[in-house]
Amino acid sequence: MQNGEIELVGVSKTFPSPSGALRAVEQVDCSISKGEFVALIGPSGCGKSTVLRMLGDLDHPTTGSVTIAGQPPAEMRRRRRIGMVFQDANLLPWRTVRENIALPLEVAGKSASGTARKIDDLLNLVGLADFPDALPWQLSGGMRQRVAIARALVLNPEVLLLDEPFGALDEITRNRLNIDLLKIWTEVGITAVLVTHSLSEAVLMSDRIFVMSPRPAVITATIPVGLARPRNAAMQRSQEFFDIVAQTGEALYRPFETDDNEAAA
Amino acid sequence: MSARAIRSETSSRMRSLAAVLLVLAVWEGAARLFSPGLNPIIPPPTLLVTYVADHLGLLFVVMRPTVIEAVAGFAIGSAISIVMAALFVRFRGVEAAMSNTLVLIHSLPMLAIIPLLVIWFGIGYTPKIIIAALATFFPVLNGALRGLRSADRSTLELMHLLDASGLQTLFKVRIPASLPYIFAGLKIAAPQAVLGATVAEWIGSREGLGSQILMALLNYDVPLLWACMVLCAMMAATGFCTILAVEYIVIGRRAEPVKAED
Repeated sequence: MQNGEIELVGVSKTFPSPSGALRAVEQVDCSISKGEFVALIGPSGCGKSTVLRMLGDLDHPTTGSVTIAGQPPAEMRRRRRIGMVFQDANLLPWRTVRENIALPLEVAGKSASGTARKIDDLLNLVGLADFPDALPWQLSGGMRQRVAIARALVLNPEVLLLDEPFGALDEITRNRLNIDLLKIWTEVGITAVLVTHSLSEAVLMSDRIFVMSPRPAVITATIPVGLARPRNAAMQRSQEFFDIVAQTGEALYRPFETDDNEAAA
Repeated sequence: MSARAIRSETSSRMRSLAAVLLVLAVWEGAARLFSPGLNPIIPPPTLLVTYVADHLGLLFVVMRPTVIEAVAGFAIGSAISIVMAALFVRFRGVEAAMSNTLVLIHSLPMLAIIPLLVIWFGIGYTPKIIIAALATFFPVLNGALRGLRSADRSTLELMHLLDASGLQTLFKVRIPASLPYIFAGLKIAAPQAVLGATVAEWIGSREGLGSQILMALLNYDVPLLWACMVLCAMMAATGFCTILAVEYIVIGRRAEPVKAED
């Protein structure tokens, strides 16, 4: 199974806790191809973020192996091949939009003169060409996440990790950002992994959905999303879309319904 | 900012100025009415103004050493505390090793240390500068420690993801994030440094504002006492306002306007 861009083989993660070891992730195997957009969906606190964090070398598997392009995540991180958008945009509040996007370039030691074009291109790509000198507090939540996306892409990474990036936004803004993110993904041609707890978001965005169970998280189903690309907002009202949402929802809610039945019995 | 907000700000400033003038007027009237003597315990403000104007040369000479001590102590104290806070944040062991000692030093009453410092260092500037530095040290250390630890976890994770070095994280994230906290500490410390220097001059000193206050007390020179007090307050306020101005230059332009509920 060593052919994907991202490979997880028998990955488990156990956290120490006061009430004994907490099994967050158990025996996760999955393979993600280069340029694919996949979503990890599961109930909150199920360990899907832990999986994403292991890809970004922010957490480490207790057992099993994680590789990105054949390399351990730590190596990919050192080469700065991983971009990540966090739940909270975490922009530096004293830096303008442009300066925030430039942060990874500065850390990588790239000269400011050689990178101005790159930042201009990204500002256009994420639709912030009119706000290069705005400060984060002057921006809406959605605009802040646009800056965070540009910042994640500025070093041309191979993998884009998205940890519920639009989870705090209202549905309409979120929809717009998702469609824009898909455009960016198509243009940049990057492998993307999205953690979400929204069924429709998972279906709209991805080529495949990995459905995860409550803790300890295992992958209970892998749902292929056959919707044509490029995707648009109107597709969310098609029968095909609803069918995939229903199929994903069934896989997602099955463990809870079994619990309910047991409780009723 | 809307014209209305500007108007309400201006009118609130006018109101506070009017309140000060009113207090001074009542004070002036009461002092002249109830104790018309030459050397009243509570002199009217006009008398203080004329006194200060008449003795400007003397007061300037008296103020000079105090200013030097307060500024030097403030600079030394804040520099040491900021460097120490950076070390504490970088090396947890250093903080664990030193925190008890620091609490102990902090709990020593200033007045009790001064005589010892005079015995050690004589009656020159040194003991006063040390006291001013000590008075500065703790508020700034507290602010700097809180500030250097104020960066979001996810921001630090981003820096980790970017394989940033410890120094890059310090200079690009931790220090800028700490500036509002450090300035808060400096604003508390600046008047404290003036107070520290003045108090230190009470014991074993022949010059400075503190020593002048003591002499005015022994000579029962009440207007001089008042003049010294006013000068002391002005020095503290100048220190505070200087820090405020520096803060505005450094971060004011970029800071989020304070929300009404803050």
